[in-house]
This record gives sequence, C-alpha cells and structure tokens, in this order.
Amino acid sequence: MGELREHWVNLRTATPSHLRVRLVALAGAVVVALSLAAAGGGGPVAWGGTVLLGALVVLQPGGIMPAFFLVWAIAAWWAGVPGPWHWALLPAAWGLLLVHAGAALAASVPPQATVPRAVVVRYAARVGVVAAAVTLVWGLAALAVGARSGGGPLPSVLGLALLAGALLGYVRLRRHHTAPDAP
Amino acid sequence: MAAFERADAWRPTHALQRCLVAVLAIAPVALVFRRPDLLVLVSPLALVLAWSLATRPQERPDHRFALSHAQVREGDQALAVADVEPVEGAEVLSAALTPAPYVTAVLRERMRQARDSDDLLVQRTSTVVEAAGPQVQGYRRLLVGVRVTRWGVRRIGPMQVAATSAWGAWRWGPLSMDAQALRVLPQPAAFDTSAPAPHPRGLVGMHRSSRPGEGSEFATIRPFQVGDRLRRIHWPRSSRTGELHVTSSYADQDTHVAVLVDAHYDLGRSGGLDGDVSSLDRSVRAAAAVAEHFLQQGDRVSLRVLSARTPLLVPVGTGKRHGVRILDTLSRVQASVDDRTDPQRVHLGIGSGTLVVMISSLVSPDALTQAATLAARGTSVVVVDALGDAAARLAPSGERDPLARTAWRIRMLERDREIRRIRAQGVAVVPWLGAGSLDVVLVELARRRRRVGA
Repeated sequence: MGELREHWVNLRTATPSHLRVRLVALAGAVVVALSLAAAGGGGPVAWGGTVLLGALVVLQPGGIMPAFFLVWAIAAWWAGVPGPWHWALLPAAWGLLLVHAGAALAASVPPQATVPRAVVVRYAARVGVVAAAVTLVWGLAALAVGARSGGGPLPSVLGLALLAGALLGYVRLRRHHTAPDAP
Repeated sequence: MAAFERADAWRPTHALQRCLVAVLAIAPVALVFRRPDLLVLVSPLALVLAWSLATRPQERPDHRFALSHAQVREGDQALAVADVEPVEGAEVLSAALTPAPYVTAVLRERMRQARDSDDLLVQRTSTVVEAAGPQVQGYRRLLVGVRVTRWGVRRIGPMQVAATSAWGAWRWGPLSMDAQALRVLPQPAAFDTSAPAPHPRGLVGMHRSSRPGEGSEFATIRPFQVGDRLRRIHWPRSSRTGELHVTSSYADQDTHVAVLVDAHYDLGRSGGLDGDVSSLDRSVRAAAAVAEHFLQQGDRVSLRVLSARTPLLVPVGTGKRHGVRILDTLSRVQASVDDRTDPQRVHLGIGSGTLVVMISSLVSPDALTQAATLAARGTSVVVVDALGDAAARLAPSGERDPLARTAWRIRMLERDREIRRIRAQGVAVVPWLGAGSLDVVLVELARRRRRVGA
C-alpha cells in the first residue's frame, strides 16, 4: 500500500515534461488496443484491459507493470487474432515500442526532474530508427506469409537455433563482463 | 557496503529484463506455433534488446559533490553541484538531493504540493542532463538549486547520482555522496537607531564625546591658543572683539557594545525565514542586527553566547570582517541549558563604560541575575526580551496537557514579576520589535549619563 502511495505521489509531483513522457506510454497502449480492434481480435475486455494496463504503466513505469502490459498485449493478439499476418500488426508493434520506450525513459530519470529536450529528441530519433526496422520486418513477414508453400518444420528449427545461438552469445558476453578482471 | 558495491556498477534495469523475457518467451512460441505475427510484435523489443546489449557501458563514472558557497545568508540560494564523468555508453545523468530541514528546492517548473508516505513534503531537488553535453574538467555538471531558510550549520545532501545507458537498459547508481555542511549566517532583523550610545570612549566612531577634540560637531567659540589650526579661526567674533577666536568641536568617538545572547532555551517552533519564529531565532537575528548596526557606526562590538553547548566568544573588534565573524559565530549557536553554573560567578569580562545589550527570552532567571549584577557595577545594560509570540504558545505536545498549560502560565507570571523587579533596579527591559527597538532606552541611558557627568 505504501509503495502504491509512493507511485501516486510521484505521479502527482512529476514535472510536466516527465508526465508527457509517461503519457507517450499511454498513447502506445491506445494504439495497441485500436490495432487489436482493427484486426478483429479480442473484445471489449481485451481492448479495455490493454488501455487500463497502459494507464498502470503511467502510474508505475519503472516496475513490473510494463512487462505485464507486454505479456497481456501479445497474449491478447495471439488468442484473439487468427491469421499469421494482418496489416494492423505494424501499428500494434509500433504501439508496443512506444510503451516500452516511454516507460524506459520515465524510469531512467527522477519524476521530479525536468526531462531535457535533448534526451527526448534522442529517444524520439531512436524510436524512429527501430520503428523503421520493424516496418521492414513487417514487410518481410508479409512476403514470407504470401510466398509460403509449406516449407515443413525447417524455418521453425532454424529460428529456434538462431535464438539459442543468440542466447548463448548473451550468456558468454555477460560472463565476460562480470569476470573479476573485467573493466 | 554490499549495497554500495552493487550500486557502483552498471546493472540491468527492468527495461532490459522485460525485453529479454519477452523475446525468450514469445519468440519460441511464435516459431513452434508458426505465428510470424507474434515475431513481428516482439521484433521491436528484440531490436531494442540487441541495441542495449551492444551499447552496454563498461567503465564506472567518477563523481564528486560540492557546494557553490561555503556560507550564505538566511533566505539566500546556493547550488549543490554534482560532477559525474560521462563515460562511454552513459546517456542520461541524474542527481537528486535528499531533503533536509530548512532547505527548500528552487523550483524551475510548477509543481503540485504533495506529501510522501513519511508525511514529508515532496520537493523538486533533482536534475537530469544528457551525458553528451558541455563538460567542466572532463565532468558533466548537474546543478540543484537550494534555498536555506534558517541560520545555522545546515546539511545539504546526501546527493545521489545515477546514470543510464541507451534505452534505459543499464543503470549505474543511485550512489549516495556524503552531505556537505553549509554555514548559514543569520539575516539581521530590521534594526536602526538614531539614539547615541551612552558611553563613547575611544577615538574613532560616530558618537559625540563629552570631551573636546577633532570632530564635526560644534562645541563652542573660545579664544585662540597656541596649536590651534588657522582654519578654525572664527573671523566674525575675532573682528568684533579684536582678539583671535576659534571654533572648537567635540571629538567623534566610539563605544564598546557587548552583545550577550542567552541561548539556554529555544522556545517555540521555527519555520525558517518565512515561517514561525522561535525565541532563539529572534535572539540570534536581533543580535546580528544590533552588532551590524553598531559596527556600521564604527563602534567596537564583542559577542558572548551563554549556552552550555556552545559557549562562544568573539572579542572586541570593529569593521566589516569583524561583523562577518560575529555572524559566523551566531550561526553556530545551539540552545542548551547550563544549570550547573552560578550566574553570579560568571565573569563576562565587561569593563565599565561598556554598553551591554543582553538578548534573552528571559525564561530562565539566570539572564536577569547576570543583567542585575552588571547594572549593580554601574554598567549600562539593556535587556532585549526575545520571547515574543512564543510566550503565548506551548509546545504541541503540551497543548493537550492541562497541567503543562497551567505550569506555563505560572512561569510566565513569575517571569513578569522578575522583569518588574529588575526594571526597578534600573535595568531597561524592552521587547524586540525590530527597527527602533532600542531608541527610547539608549536616549534615556545617554541622558542619565550626561546628568551623572554634570
């Protein structure tokens, strides 16, 4: 209860610039909900829950709430949208990116501090770069789905192997950084 | 120690962890269930994760904390300066000052009033800068403006600094740096007096002496004597009488003002410069005002603080630097009762001809006893009553206790009787009312002195 009050006090005493950053996360949640609705997935509960969780991200950007939101949103898409591809995937992915970026920036700075314009511009530029890359992925997915003629389990196996390789690389990298003689 | 070591390293944040968990949980599901749409959804998080891992900072930033001023006056502003080294990979640097009593933040943006779970007012004492900005000696400078509202040695800090990497994925800190002491000199209360000091003794200053000498105030016209300056010849009288006459003047002389501050008790609650005033606040500010006033007139001023904890003494001196020394000493006053010393045996080192200004809340009879002892020796004593509004109020803890209220009323009645008795002995007791508080008393003392001299 005390922690919840702290979040509420932080929200009330946050600077306008900090509040704007938090509201970006809420805007991202609304985009995800609209995309879900456009794709015909879920129902009012899923859409309302998405927006509600987005509001909770605004309240607690630095804790577990953004992770809950991501899991909820992707699970709602998986459960509600049937097809392997839909045009609304793109705004939905952009929405998830906005939620993550807004929450990450809001959690990086004290709520009572003014977020410098240079930092906001830098984040905005990065979000733009990643959004462009996501658009590319979305387009490639559209091509892959359109040209799919079976293919068997090979793409899935290759993907899983790639993922396992990336995970192994991450573990080795982390071990390297946490070694006693690491810089 | 472990917490410090953990903070003094780059640690993954919730942002990085949620990207990692999302990719590890959703990508296999998407691959196994052949759902490329889920891969598209998780792709921004995967890209952010890769970006975050690639730009992980390696070095720990060097950091330091200092204040812009060593001493300020009450109500003045100072800067808490945190310097953080902008190491490679660090993007956002932030600093936050821990709130402290009588230290308020200088607001740069509007803010709603709110209290935290400890019922303390939330203040805006934090700042954020981008790491890639102008540097000072290889450090990025983070400034937090503070305003100190009460005299004394105030603790500014501890200051906490932190840094985050790209996408807020890695965080260094928050690391706490020790608080810094800031000496806050009392803001002298408005005080001015046009009355003369009663015992001018030296040879500099602005008070008129009873002795003739070099000065600006006219005394008389007398016959010329060997050694008189030619410019002092009074030509109208000389031509009329046929004998040389000169104008003579009184010497401009100074006086020794001994300021005694009774710091045995601090009654009432202090709300800083803009809030309620405790008795010690009033005493210290009044002492500062009296000392500054007489020093500006060129008089010699000494200070003595009567307190068990801080028995401070500033010897006689004059000039601006001496004034700063007195204010500095006043800023170190702490209230503490000294009930083991007999006030009649305390040697205050005050010679005859000194004007003693004793500033006291007069709650303890010791101050009045000392004032009476000094007056009995022929010293001019003015007692300034600094209790003020605190006389009407009790500590909040005692408000609900009828016994405490009655005891306080009895003590106040006793105090009134003690003040009447000491007035009967010729000691002037005046309440501190700011400008002109001492005027009437000083005029009366000077008149009495002249009568005795005549």
